[in-house]
Amino acid sequence: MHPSDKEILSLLQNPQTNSKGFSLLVDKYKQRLYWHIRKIVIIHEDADDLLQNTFIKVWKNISGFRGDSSIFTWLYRIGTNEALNHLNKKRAELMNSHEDIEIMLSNQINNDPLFTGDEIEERLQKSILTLPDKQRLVFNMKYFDNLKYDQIAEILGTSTGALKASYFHAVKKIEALIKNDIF
Amino acid sequence: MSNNKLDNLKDRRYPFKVPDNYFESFEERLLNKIEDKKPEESDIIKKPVKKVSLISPWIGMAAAFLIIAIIYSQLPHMIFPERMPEKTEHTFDNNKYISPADLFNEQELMDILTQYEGEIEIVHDSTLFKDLDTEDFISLTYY
Repeated sequence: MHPSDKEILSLLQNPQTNSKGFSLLVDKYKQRLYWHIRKIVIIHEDADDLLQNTFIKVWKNISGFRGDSSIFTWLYRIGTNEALNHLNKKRAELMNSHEDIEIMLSNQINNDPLFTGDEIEERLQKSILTLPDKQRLVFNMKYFDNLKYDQIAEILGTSTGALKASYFHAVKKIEALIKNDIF
Repeated sequence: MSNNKLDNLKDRRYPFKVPDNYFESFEERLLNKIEDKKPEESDIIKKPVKKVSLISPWIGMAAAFLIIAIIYSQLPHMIFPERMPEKTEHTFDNNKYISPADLFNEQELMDILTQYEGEIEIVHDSTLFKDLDTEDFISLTYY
């Protein structure tokens, strides 16, 4: 049983107990945050690096956390930004080699020893990779994590109306890709 | 694959796994990474940048230019003083530049121009006068 966010936050904000608070925070959220980042960057090693960077940023900036949003939202927002920045950096690196990161990640699914899905899941994952970053994020957070639109809106800083539209378009595209046997 | 198959996948988990013992060892690796980063950060905090160190390169560069300028202007005089031309003072000699206005007043100038018309060649000293003949020029002196 994990302690509540409020208990963790009060421990984090006290210099004498902040290490214990941080340890509890990592223990409570490491798995959820890892899978959130992993869905964006696909590759385990990248997800591991970005998860560590996310928690390091949290540790450095915990004194600046004012509690306007929940810790969960704050963590997800940092993790999402880290992952999206990572993808953009990779895109910039690949620009000169004329490679496409989405194709590279799609090939990664074929060869990833950590992929445990069947053929249908593989096709679904490859279809998801064709979506723009924001649609992909929304789709993953709704479809796999089953987060509420309000929570997603708070993490991504957009309206629920825009998110619903994004999710709708994402589902339609994926269904069309799968229906037409593109993957 | 029909639309229903996408719906059927809804309850499925994300089809990837992590290496064995990954989450169990994560916190230890994270704390090691934070420890590794600490000395760098504390170094930055303990060593504030002095203002002098920010402007010292510019002062050094200005001093270097000044030294080069002094050497360039003075060194030839110090090494080859006999080969260097003597310094001469340039003064303005008023006698070399006499204007007609210094010799005649306005009335005398008009008398000369009317009396010796045709003998005096007026040299235009400005392009403003290039289309004026002697007659125009004299008529201008009345206004």
